[in-house]
Amino acid sequence: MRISFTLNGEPQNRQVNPFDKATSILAEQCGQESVKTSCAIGRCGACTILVDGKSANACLLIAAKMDGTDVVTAEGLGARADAIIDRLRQNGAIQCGYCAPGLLISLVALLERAPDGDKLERQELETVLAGNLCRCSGYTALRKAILALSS
Amino acid sequence: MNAVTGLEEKLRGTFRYLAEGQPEGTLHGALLTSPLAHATIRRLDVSAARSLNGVHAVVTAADVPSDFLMGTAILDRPPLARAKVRFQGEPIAAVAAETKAIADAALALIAFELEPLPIVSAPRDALDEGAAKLHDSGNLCSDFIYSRGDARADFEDCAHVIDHTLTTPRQVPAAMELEGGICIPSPTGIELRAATHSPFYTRSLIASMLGLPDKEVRVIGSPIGGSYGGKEEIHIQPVLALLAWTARRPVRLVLERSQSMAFATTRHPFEIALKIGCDRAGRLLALTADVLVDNGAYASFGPEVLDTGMECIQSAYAFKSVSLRGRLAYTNNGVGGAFRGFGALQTLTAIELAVDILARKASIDPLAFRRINLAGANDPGPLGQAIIPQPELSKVADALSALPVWRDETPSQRYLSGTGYALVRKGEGFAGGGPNGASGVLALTLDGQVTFQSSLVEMGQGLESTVRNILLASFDLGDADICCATGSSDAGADSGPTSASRGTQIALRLIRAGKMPFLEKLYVGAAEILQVPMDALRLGPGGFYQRMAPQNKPDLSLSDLAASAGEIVTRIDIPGIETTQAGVKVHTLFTACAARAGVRIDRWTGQVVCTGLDLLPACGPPISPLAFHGQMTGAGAQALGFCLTEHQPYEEGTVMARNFDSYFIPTIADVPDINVHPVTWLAPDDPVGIRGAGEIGLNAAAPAIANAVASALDAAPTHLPVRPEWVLGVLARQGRTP
Repeated sequence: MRISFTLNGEPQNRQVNPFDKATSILAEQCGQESVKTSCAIGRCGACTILVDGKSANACLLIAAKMDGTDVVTAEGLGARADAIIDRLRQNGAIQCGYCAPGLLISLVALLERAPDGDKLERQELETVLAGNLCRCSGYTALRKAILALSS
Repeated sequence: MNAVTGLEEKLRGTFRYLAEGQPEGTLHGALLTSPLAHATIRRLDVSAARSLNGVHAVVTAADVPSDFLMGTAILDRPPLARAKVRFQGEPIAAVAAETKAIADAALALIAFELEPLPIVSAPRDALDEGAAKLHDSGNLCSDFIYSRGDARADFEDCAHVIDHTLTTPRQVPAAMELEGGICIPSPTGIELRAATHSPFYTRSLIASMLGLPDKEVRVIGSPIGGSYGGKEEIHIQPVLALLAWTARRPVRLVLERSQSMAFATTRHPFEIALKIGCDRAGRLLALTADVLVDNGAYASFGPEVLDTGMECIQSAYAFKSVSLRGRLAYTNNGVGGAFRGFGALQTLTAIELAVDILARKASIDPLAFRRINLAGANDPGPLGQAIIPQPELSKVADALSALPVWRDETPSQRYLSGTGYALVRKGEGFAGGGPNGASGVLALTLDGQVTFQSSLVEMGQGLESTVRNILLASFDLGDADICCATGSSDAGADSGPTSASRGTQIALRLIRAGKMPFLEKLYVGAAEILQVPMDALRLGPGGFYQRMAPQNKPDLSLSDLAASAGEIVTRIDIPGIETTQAGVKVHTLFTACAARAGVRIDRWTGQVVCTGLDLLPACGPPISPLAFHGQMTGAGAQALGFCLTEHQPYEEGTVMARNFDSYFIPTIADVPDINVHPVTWLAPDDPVGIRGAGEIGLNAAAPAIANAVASALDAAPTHLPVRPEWVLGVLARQGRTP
């Protein structure tokens, strides 16, 4: 079947099979290497993307369901992610970086959802980011960076 | 200063890992792996798969030279199973095809028959007479024996004696980036892009397998998307290289997570039986240890892991007498291998638990008990060897005692809380006789940059940022004037493996050793071009300045110097810091670290939560503070997993955890804020001035967490990870179930 969607603002028209996952279409056909396959069962969050503004595991998303949606990958975040990236850099929150694009998507979704001036609670941050596994960092610098950003 | 290079690119997804960005026309590689843990290969017929349209290569053991085996101390592992399979998930054949669908179809066309053999599922059974043998040499892969003094007699003099046995988990490195890579053949050789800690070692291994001269194999080993030792092992590189060399086309082969969970080397499970005793004053008199290690199916780094574990089993304490035995047994449980901590993590956790039990029995505060028994600054090493003196040990103990007191947990009906301590040391680099020496290059490249070239690899630990900081501290240059080239066999100099916490030490010592000879070449070249004496010149940001007439701009830029003088190169070779000792493998350079952990235990569910962790590494002043901090906090989280959540169980050779729905690496919600308190003081005459940060945090954090559980429960864990069922059983026996 053919599907149409926007990817990082660009219109896309792609031939997909019923069992294709969004990961393979985005990474292999659309060249979005930020959409990484690691567990492929929705546990690690390395493939996290935005679909109509909400974060989703691309590995659990049937590609056909992207039809008519607005998809954003880490490659397409542009200035929306600048402040977050600055904080993560200052705190040394990223190491090998394989989890980083998925993590960045989750952070953008979380911080854009929080109403202006609302302080992000530690527990909410942890609940959201528990779906983004990082094997390197121990999360300490990440938590510090983001809680400080939102306060 | 960044903790790692490429941070923004990593976050925005434009950073390229080695298995990404394949050239046009790259074939899809796929593996046929064994469904059985132990079997004879009766038949293997790949002819139908080979003749399928779109298949460009099918390889089996028949395509590998019959005497080609892999390993370190013991060579016993074929890249593709030969005559027998010895663990579930062992590769039997591999295909390269134009699409994934064709590759999968080809795998299905491979006809094979496996005749099951008895499965060796426990190391103790493996060593029984009559056990099925994995290898012709028998199931004892290696052993370790050492004694000092007369432990039997000294136990007679002890006022307090305890014994404790600890079984440790099969922890999977589980990097987010899966094992894989891309191999691109040329008419005369190959370029292999796949994670390794040792580009030159991998190059010669692959070259010998393919019958090529070393120079025809180019290995690009980093950047790596996480390793922790897992990719120090040779993983799929030989199979990938074989596919590409056979197909004469580029091939990409990346494991799936479920394949990786069976195939990747894991931390060896240890069963550690300890008996220790002290006199009335709390002085440790005697230690006996009997250690049995589940090695899995192939030797890999097992013998070195056993040796390192046995060397570290006394932690940082001065026992009067010790009697140590360790055995490494082959089983059909996957393959054990290198993993951050390398055997020391297991034995240090056991001894630190035992020390706390004994201290409690002797009614001595655990910190005071550690101080009484701390090895002296100039004592020989744990196996009697000469070591670099460790006067910092007492500083670490001081720092641990001086930590601000925890904010007390509110006592409640439901929760128990506990605090645990640990004080450990582990050897850095390889034991004497290992690849401890290193080579590197300082070069002024034609584009005018002072570049440190090495084959050390970047895997997220911040090697490149650390090297940049060393260069900036060594040369009065600007950030734009320096470069760090790492990670491949292009370096022209083999720096040895980036493992055993040695990367920073090696980079620092190479640059230190090369600095003066390199600077002299630069000054000679600059003086000749500017026609002034050398002592009239000063190297500064951007190039050379004349001392007498200071300018804002250099009188000779580095790029003009390179343009006139050509590339200026200094090759550097340094020896290893090592001693050798008859009979045992020993380290010379040791790193100390202390830790304090807090846990909260739910009496209703038995669940253990780590509520706090302090790490006090004695690594000298951190060269790249953010990267150093990250090494410690990351190690803390992996220690938490080792103690509380992670284990790969095998049942009769069957892999039980195939993905992250059954294997639990800690999430952000599991890991508390980890506080790092570097103990920066090392002896002024210390020959290195720093210690590596890679492993030591893990080795201290795990025993501290285990001791915190012991303190909360008044019972020391016997098995890690600590299971809720065990906690509830202990509470029930103590009559403390709610």
